[in-house]
Amino acid sequence: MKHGMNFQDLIAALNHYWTKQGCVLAQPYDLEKGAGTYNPETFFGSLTKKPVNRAYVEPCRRPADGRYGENPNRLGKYYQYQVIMKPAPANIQTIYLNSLKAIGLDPKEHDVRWIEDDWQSPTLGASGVGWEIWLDGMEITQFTYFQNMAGYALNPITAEITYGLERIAMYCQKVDNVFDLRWNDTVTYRDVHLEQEKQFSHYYFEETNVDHLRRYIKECEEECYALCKKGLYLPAYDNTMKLSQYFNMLEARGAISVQDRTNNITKIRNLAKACAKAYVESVEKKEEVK
Amino acid sequence: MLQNALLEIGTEHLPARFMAPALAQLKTLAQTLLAEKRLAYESVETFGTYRRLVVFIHGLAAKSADEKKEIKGPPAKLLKTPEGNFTPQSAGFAQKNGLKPQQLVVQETDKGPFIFARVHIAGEKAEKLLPEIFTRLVTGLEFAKNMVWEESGLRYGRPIRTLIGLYGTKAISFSVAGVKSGRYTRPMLSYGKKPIKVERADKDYYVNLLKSQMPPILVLPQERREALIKSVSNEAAVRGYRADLDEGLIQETVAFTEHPVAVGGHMDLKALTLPRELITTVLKQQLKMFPVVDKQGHLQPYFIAVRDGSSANQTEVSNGFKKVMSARLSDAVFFFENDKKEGLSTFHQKLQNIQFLEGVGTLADKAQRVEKLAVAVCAKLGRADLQETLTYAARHCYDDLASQVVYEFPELQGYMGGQYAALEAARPGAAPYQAAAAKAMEECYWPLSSSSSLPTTEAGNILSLAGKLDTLAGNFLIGQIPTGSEDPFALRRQAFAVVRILLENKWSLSVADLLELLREAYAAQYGAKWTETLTQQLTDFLRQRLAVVLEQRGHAPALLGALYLWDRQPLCQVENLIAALEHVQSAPEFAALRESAKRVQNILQKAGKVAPRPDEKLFELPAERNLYRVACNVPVCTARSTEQYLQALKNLHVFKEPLEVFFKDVMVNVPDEKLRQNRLALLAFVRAQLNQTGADVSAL
Repeated sequence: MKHGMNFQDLIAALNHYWTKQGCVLAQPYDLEKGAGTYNPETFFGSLTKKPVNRAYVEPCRRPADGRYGENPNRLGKYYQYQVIMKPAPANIQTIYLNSLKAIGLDPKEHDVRWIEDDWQSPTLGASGVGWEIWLDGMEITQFTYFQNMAGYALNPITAEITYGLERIAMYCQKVDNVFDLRWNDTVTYRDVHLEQEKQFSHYYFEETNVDHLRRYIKECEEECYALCKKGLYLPAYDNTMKLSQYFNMLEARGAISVQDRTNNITKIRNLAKACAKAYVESVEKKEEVK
Repeated sequence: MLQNALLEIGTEHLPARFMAPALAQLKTLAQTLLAEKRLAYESVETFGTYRRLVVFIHGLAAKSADEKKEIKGPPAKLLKTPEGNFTPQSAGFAQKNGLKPQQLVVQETDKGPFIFARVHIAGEKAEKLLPEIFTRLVTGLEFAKNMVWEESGLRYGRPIRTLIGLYGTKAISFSVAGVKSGRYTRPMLSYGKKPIKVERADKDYYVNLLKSQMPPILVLPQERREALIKSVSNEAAVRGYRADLDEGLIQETVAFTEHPVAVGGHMDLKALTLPRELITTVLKQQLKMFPVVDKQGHLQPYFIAVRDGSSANQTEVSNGFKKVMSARLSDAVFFFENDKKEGLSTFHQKLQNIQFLEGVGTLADKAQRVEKLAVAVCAKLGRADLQETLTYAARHCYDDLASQVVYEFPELQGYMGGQYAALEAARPGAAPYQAAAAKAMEECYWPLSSSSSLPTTEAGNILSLAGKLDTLAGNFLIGQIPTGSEDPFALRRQAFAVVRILLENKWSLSVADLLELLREAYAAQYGAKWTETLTQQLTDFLRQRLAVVLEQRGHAPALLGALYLWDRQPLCQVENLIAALEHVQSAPEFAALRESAKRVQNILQKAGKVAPRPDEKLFELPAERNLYRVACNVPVCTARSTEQYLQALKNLHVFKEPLEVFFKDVMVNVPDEKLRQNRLALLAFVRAQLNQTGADVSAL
């Protein structure tokens, strides 16, 4: 028997649902990132007073989590579905629960538990308060009210909803191996992603050139600061994202000591702060002109 | 007429850990506010769920009490001018208090006569006062961690979404963080959004109204607790077993449900090969599930999860829980099998790369120090028979910190080390002491909380003590000393445990001796850094915890201040002495002795250096001779039980009369220096005898 929605239908249903909630359906940002929060829509979007409502699929890369496609639950690249609403509507919890209905999960038929879980990202200098949401014991969503971004205390407050798409799909389709997920009626997640998992695991764990990576990191850092000075916060932030990815690659390669790790996290946080500062200053300047 | 009042704060899901403190705080806060507003009431009750905090005021007066106040003004001489007119000062004072100057009165005070204004403040209607009271109740609540969610910037545990204020049948209107109060509450979040109208402030009515929803909301924590225990127990009983009703998990579950319903299911048999605590940790901590056990307490291959709400679709929900549990348990099996392949010696190698504390070396260094200290304590206690056990246990007690299981489940530190050690102890060719060492390792972090058990074996107690002292010293050495409410490394808890181990085991080991052994353990690497100040800081720190432990054991901790050299004797003796002092302290005949002892002390304090014993030949008066004779004959206190201390203290009463006579007949500070010194020496000798138990009689 065929259970649950196909993977692509799940995404389409979420797109449809959040479109109806007034969200701009954005497309994934075209750079590697460790989590959807890194998307510039989210990073810059949370910083100013302007309302933002966005929904988008975001592929995430976690080089160290890759398992050559051999582990049924671990992936080096997977998808998050992100929703950003600012200011957070007063009935945002209900809006979220209705999205579960839209993908075939009636909250009345399941145990939906909101477990305290305060998210933070040391590299973005960001933190928030919220929950991880359990469906019958399984974590399917991270729900966060952002409180700080790049060191700025935020107000208005952005709500960020992050769905773990593969987990939800595995639950709905009742499969135990992520590669068995039906992407559509004829193609599986294995068909789409297995080769990527194999090759990228191989690359991240065995083939990356550590010297190159260290050089890239240095270059990205220089470029980011130079661009910030010119008020070009968007390309500057691209360099922050790239640096972060190179750092994750070094870590997957086992080339980072504890001290090194702390230093690099600080380095990325400082870059993120510089980009945020350039952005906030440019917004303020525009407002003065008005 | 008395009416009831009700406040409901409707929030988004409050974290379970916030619940009990919030309800306790709300109650105190309500009592304080009602008292401040002089509103009489019969009682205040608080209850609720993670989505609704409720304050219920029973029998609230319709009006606050009138208040008569006398306000002190300027001195009486400023009332009128010599011509008989009111001065600007008195007229101003009258005006400020809403009176005419003629209404002012003059009253005597201990600083002379003053002008007073007698004001009468009329009571106000309860419904006029309630908006402010409710507002301040809502905003006065403090949470362990706060957030902002709307533009007013109110900091709160989670967003407030609804507010209800009722006084009898009347809605009280107020608003907080953009939310206006009303009389509507909400059903459970997952079950629709149709508001529920609350007609009146009546507890039974309100509780039943919520209970009549579908699914029912059990707003009283006690009812949720009963429903939870019943539901979970039934679920176990239908399988012929019972549930392991862990109290912590019950409390947590009560705090994060509105209507708890048990969902049972099977566990893979393969998982049962894991150590028990590992399974129960996965179940309880990670998944909030209750384990199932047989009559003997053996784990059975079932789990009981709790869902919040209805019991529709139970099979699918159970399958969902089972899937998550299986995945977690198979991870645990994977980690455990990997760890078994590595073994303690491999872990031990890795300790060299794990920092214990910046500035005091790695975990390998710590293990070395703890081994040295544990073996030294063992010798001091005359337990040479435990030396091999302790050497092994101390060397390996931190090995599990390098294991995968403890990396994933930090709360299993110690326990897992014990498991791995026991596996190795069961192998052919293992040394006989390894089994005992495994037990000591398993319990080397005990007591885990201030009231939980000490390690069950002597070796375990010594190991736990050594590990904790090493942590204390390490932190103190690098300047991480707790101050005020700041104690990020929970060092007070460690010191508390050290005191308990010393006291409850009745070890004949003083704090001073122990710190000396600790200093020696640190000497090889950090000898130069260890100063007298550090020893003193550690002594003081332990002394503060000793005071707390003594108080918990029913003693008056202030008496510690009267003890000489408490750190030079075993703590059980300190406790005995304090128990004895409590007995004699309140006796009237003791008061006279204490007064004389104080005189002795005062004189000696001013005297500078004095010989410890007088020269009999220099005595001039019978009172001197008599006092000396009594001091020489008083029995010396050698034993250390409470009764013996009590007897020794009672023996001191022989000093009462001779001392009184001495102070009546003898002048100490005479011009003849030799005579004066001899009399001072007599008093010094008397003081030593008075304080021979170790307690300063003059300071009691």
